[in-house]
Amino acid sequence: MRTWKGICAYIVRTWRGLETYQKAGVFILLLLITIGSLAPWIAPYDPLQTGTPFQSPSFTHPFGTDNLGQDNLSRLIYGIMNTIKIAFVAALVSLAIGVSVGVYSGYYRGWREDALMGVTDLFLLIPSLPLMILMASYLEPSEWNIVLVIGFLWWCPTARVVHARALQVRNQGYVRSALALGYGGPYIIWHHILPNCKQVIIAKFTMGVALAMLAEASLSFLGLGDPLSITWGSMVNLAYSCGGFANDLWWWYLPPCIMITLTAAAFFMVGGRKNEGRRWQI
Amino acid sequence: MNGSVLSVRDLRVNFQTNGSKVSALNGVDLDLAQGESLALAGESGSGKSVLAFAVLRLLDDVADVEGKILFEGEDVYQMAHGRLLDIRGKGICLVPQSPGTAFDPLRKVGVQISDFIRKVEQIDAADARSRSITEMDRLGLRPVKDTYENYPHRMSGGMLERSLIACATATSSRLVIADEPTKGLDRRTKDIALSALLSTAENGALMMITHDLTSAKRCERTAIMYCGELVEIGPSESVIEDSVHPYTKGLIRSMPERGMTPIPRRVRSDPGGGCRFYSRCNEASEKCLFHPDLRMMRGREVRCWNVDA
Repeated sequence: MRTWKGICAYIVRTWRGLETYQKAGVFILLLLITIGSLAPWIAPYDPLQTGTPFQSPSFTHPFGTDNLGQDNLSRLIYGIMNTIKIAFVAALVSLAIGVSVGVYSGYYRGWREDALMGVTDLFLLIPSLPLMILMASYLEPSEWNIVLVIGFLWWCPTARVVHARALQVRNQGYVRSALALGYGGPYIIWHHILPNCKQVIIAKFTMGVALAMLAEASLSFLGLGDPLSITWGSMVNLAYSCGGFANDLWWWYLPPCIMITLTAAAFFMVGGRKNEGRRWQI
Repeated sequence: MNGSVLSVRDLRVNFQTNGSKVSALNGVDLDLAQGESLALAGESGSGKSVLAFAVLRLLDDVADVEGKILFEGEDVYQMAHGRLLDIRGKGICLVPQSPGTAFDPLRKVGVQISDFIRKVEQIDAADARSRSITEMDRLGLRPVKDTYENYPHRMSGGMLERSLIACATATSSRLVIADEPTKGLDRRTKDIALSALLSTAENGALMMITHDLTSAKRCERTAIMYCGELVEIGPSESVIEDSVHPYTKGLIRSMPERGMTPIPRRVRSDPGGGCRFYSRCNEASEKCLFHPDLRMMRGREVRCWNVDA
């Protein structure tokens, strides 16, 4: 049994093992999540409350108001959790599929590997953004469409990377000794293959969240997201369609863009690993 | 045979590599009775480890295995996969050769040992833990509580080797196959490890692969392998102290305390149709161009034309 003390010690140990930029990423994310989950108390206005439209930044509305007079800052704060939630679930779905396929084919090999990796290659051939646009425009508008599209398309790179790592791990001495001691496939996968693929899985997951955020933003910007849910992508879309760009109302469209970039960058920072100080390896 | 734990019949193992065939085992016959211990010695590449893996059917997809391996009367190569998993670990326990890589680097050594005990003996976690601690203590891994909680990279080769042995000696497998279990151990710990391994042979059997003929002497029987064949097999006393095969004599001469003179020339990759040791033998004669069979002589079996009863 793990006690609270053990969990704390584990967290402290993990934290110490992180690179500086990873710590920075974790810090940014924690800050955003705190603000986002406290949105009803922190945000100065209800994000749906209307008022005078197209206001410039002022002390009452730091980022001005949009075409319906809704406070941009409040919408930005309420958008944090929506955006991260969608991206997180989408990345989780694609991770679950990708890791299962990768580990299973990498460990069992043979015809299973050929079949699964063949399917992965097929999926990789599908251009994701056009398909997302297609699917999003045919399905009922909902934020979960994005989860569906991203989850079921973006597992392929994860599957390939995890597959490659599993191939390495299965030839290690400890897997061979486990086989010699009569352990079956499920045990070996759960206790040896998966923990030893942890690094690439975590990296792929954080990168998946970042990419899902960007995809969500693109789809929302194209007007294919749920118009009722407040996300940063839909804010940019609104600014674009209601003249924010044309009239150069930068306080309207710039903050959500910066937030998308910052959050995606934070996820990349957490998951990325520097390779010999030169390259960023995801 | 009554009370036979393992019997190997005419075992041949070939590896296919880029069109050429490498023969690793060439007709090995071996019997291990209940309560018996056997040392398997020979130079590197003579097929000792291949034999161990073949017994556990771990070579399946990389090699052609011919012949019969019976574990307690059951053909290992005919049984269902589930039964095989049951026999590995529970029936036959392998102590693998390289302790440095045999433990998962991300899990504590002690946890890996008690996990195995739990699986084999079907006992709960606390019992398995206390049993592995007892066993690690017996093998001299002290302070035992710290060692239990350690990760593999924090332990020395000798400690890991003894931890591997603990897996085998803490459980009551019918057959323990130990692949160089005394590697990296000093005299005292080697003694402890050997005694622990030999005690498992009391209610089962032990097959110990070794390069160390002094350790081999502690087993009841010794088999000497050369190029995938057994060349001399019999009671350890007579094989080691009074060896008759020129290859065994050469191995004895290459021991540090017996002059440390290595056997001249290299192993031939293609041994030809005659005696496989022919090219390196200093007692070779014309007869040796034909392949000798194992013959019973002076209390042991020998594969040599030039030994007289």
